[in-house]
Formats: sequence, structure tokens, C-alpha cells
Amino acid sequence: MSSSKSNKIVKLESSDNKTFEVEEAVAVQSETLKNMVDDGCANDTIPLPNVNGKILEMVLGWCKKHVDETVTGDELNKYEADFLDLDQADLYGLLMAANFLNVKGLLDRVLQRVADMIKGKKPEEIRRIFNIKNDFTPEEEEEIRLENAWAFD
Amino acid sequence: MAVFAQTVLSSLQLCDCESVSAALFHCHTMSDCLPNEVITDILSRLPAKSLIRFRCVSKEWCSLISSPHFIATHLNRSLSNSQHPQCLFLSHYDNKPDYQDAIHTFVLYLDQEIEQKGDFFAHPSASIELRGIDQSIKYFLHLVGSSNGLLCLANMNFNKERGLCVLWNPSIQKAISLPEPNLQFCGSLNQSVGFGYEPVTDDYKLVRLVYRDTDFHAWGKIVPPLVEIYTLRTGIWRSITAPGPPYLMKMWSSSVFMNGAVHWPAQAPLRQGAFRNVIVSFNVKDEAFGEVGMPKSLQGRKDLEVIVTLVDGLLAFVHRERTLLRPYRNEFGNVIEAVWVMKEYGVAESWTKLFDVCIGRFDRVIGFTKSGEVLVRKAGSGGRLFSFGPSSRGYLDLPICGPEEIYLDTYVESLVLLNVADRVPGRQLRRGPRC
Repeated sequence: MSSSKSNKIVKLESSDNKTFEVEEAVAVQSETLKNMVDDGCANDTIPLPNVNGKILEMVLGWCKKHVDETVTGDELNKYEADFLDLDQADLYGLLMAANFLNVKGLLDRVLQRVADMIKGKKPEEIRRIFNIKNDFTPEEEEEIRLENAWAFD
Repeated sequence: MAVFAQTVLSSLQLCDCESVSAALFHCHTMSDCLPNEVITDILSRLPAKSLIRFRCVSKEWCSLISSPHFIATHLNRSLSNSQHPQCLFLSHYDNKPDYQDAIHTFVLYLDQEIEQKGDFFAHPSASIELRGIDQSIKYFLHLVGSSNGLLCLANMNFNKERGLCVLWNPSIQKAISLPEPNLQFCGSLNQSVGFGYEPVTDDYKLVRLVYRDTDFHAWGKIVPPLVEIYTLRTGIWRSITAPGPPYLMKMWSSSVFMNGAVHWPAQAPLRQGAFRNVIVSFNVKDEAFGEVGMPKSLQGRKDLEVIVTLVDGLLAFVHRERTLLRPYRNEFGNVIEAVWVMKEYGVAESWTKLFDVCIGRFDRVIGFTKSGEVLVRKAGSGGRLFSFGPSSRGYLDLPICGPEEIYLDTYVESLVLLNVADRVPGRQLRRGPRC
């Protein structure tokens, strides 16, 4: 189908102007980057204005780990578990990056992590986290709460 | 107001300032910056209780969570989650001295502890009461079946005064009463019901068969039953005009839903008073009756009591046959009981006997546990449950007195019924002249 790509390098630049060079095999863990490579748009440095250096480094680390054949299944599981032990700001950045770069396994894990993090929270906390305006009147909100009092214990 | 803008790529600038507030998704623009599909994905992973709570976050979230598409997405994720604990649904009395005042509720016990503690009921981890239904109706409800987290309960007294069924989703603690059925007759009836899910139209259906001719002994000329169907989407009962199936079912026959059809044990009349034991099927999509053959050795047996059930998702039945010990006294001797499973649906030769049940008489088959044991309620033991099978545990002690109605199924969390308007029961129960 194609010539050996094992030595091809992909260059990426984060929003804060840090450059990263990775093997193509690592980069194509991201569907977004894979499409660019397949379309022949990956010859120059690819700018990623919506992913900062810290997050991009994390994502590329994930991709590298998943391409590395010397890593055992157990090691990978542990890596994935530790990977998501992040503070909220990093988790958000990671979510946006994984979504944009479409790194499949990573996105699913991050989404689950966010879900686990919010499931016990109160509506007020959810609004703060997602920056959502409450457009219910106090009476409307009270009605929902009363109807489903069991869910608010 | 495009609250959820699909603009990940555009003006998004991550905040890389040190002082990150409690806002996880703090954006420089005031509009929300998470794409709709990301929000939906996260929400679809949440338990039902959280979602009910989050309905009051905002109007957009409220309408998203109640939308049919989201309910389906959430259900699909729930179904594909391999962890489906089994649970028991049962009704019980609340130890009141006066029988009339006993509370009759349905609760569900999750058996998550079964593997660790090895005891089904030692530590019930959750119980949910059926609420919002008239107390006097609750008294006669029994479980017909369940699908996608939705339980169907029917009133055994199903007559003009109390002909009500209930659909209940314990995950969201919502129940609706069905309107009274069309087929109403005086006196007690021979009737059976079945409940199932139709995926093409995403609808839940309850089918009811009513036999008016109660002359069970006239085998040669069974009058086919009248049939009516309730569908959740329409909210009404609809009679089926085509002739009912030419089989006879016992009153309140057991039923199971699998392979897109409800199944009941029945008898097909042959000539000269003979009959054949069969399993009748009702396909909920085509709304057509069919037949599943029983093992050849059992087809012609008299006095065969059959209870259909599921073993590991396969059609199965427990049968009991009593041999007359003293015919002139009508006394029964040995009771032969066994469990059969149909390994290949529709292929009569694939009926396989799993094991003989040797625990003496029982009056109810509750179901099969994941470890392949049959759970029964033994006759004459005060309603105690007994499990029998490869690793038989003997009697199991329920921490409730005399469960009248007990049902075993796999518990699936879902939001089904969330977007269905509450339907008020048609009328109050009244005393007055019958018919």
C-alpha cells in the first residue's frame, strides 16, 4: 500500500509555541492528525492553537505508550489509571485536546473520569463547573426538586 | 441562544493562569464551550439518580435529559455495560396486625454482595418502594415482565372495578397506571398477559388474552381467546380483531419475553379430547401468534404443569408432573420435576434437560440465578425461598415476612418513562352493584 513510514517524523506546535517531534506511528493515534498525514498536509509543522504545551506533551506521552510494543497489558492499565489522576484544569484541557485530536481510547477514558467526578454533585456545583446559567425561576426549580425529592437526598 | 456551540476549533483559548477557580470548564467567553456531543456523552454515563437531579441545572439540560434520543443513548450504554446485577422484586407486608392495613409494596434487592458473602439476601443493598399508585390497587399487583428497566405489573383481579396495570421504572422512581382495558366481563376470568419491547418502533407492549368460555374440559372445542394490546406510545388498549390463537392457557399463565416474542405454556386440542402441550409465542412486532414445540417426550403427557422461564437468556421451562398414587382417592404421589432449556431457539430437537429438581413440592418458580440455580418458593414452608442446582444452598432466608409476589430479573438502569406524562387512573374505586 505504501512505503515504510517508520522513520517519518511529524512536527507539532502547541498554542504556547512549544514544538514537538514524534514518529508518524505515534501521531496517527490521533484520527485528526492521521487525516492530515493521509491528505499530505503533515509535511510542515502542524499548529495546534487550542492545545497548550503541557497538555500536548501528556497526549503524546499517551500515544507513545500505546504504540510501544514492550509495554505489557498490566503496565498499560496502571499507566492509564495514573494518567487520569489530574487536577481539574488539566482534566479540562485534556478533554478538549482528546476531543479535538480524536485520540479514541483517551477520549473515552477522560469522559468516564469526568462523569465519575460529577455524578454525586449538586445542580449548583454542576452549573459552576460547566459555567451554565440557571434559567429556571425559583418556583420552577422548586417544582422539579419536589417532584423528585428522592434524588436530592 | 446557542448555548452549546459546536466551536471547538475556533476561538477557544485555554486558560493557563494559575488561579483556576472552581469552574472546571472556565472559558474566556461566557457561552458554554463544550460541544453538545461531549456533554451528551458525559451525561449518558451517569446513573439515573444523578440525571434526575441534573434536570434542574438548566432548561436546556432538562429537555436534553428527557429527550427520547438521550433516553435511548443512555439505555444503550446501560445495556452494553456487562455488569447487570440480578435483583428480586417482591411485595411484602409491613407487619401490621390488621391484614387490611398491610402495606403492599414492591422493593428490589440487589445482590452485589452475593459473590463476596455468598448469601443472596444477607445484605440487601437497595430497596425501592413503588409509589404513586393507589394503595388498594397495589394489593393485587403481580409482576408480568420487565424490559429495559421497565417493569410491568398487572392486577390479578383484572375486572371492571380494578382493571389496572402499572408500568414502573425503579431507576427513576416513576410509575404510571394504564387505562382500563377494553375487554371487560363480569365475574372472574381466565386471562393471561405478557409484556415485551419492540425495538423498531421503540415501544413497550402489553398483550392480554381473555377466555370467555371457561369450560376447560371441552378439549375438542376450545373457543379462542379475545386479544387486546396496550402500547406505551399510543397510551391506549387496542383489540385485535383476528381470531385468537387456538390454544388453551391456564389462568395467569407464566410468561417470558425473549427473541422478540412473549411465550406462554399452553395446550393445543387434538381430535377426540386429546391435546398437545405447546409453548405459544406472540411476536410483538408483527403482533402474530406462533408456536414453539416442546420436547417430544412431554408433548402428550397429561397433568403437566409447565412454568416458562429464562436460563441465561435461553427459553426454558420447569415442569411438574404428578403421578396418581391412589386414583380413587385422587391422591398424588411422586412429583417429577425437571428443568429444560432450548439451546437453539425454534429447534425442537435442541431441548435439553438440565437437571431434575428433587426438593419436593414447590408452588412457584422464581427464576434462575446467574450461577445456574433455580430459585423456587417451596410449598408449605411459609413462603421461604429455596435454591436448587449445581451448588445447592438449600433454604434462603428473606428478612421480610411472607413475600406474596416475588420475581427475579436482571436489573438495568434506564430513564424509560421519564418523558411520558403522568397518567391519572381513570376513576376512583367505587362500591356499588356489580355489572
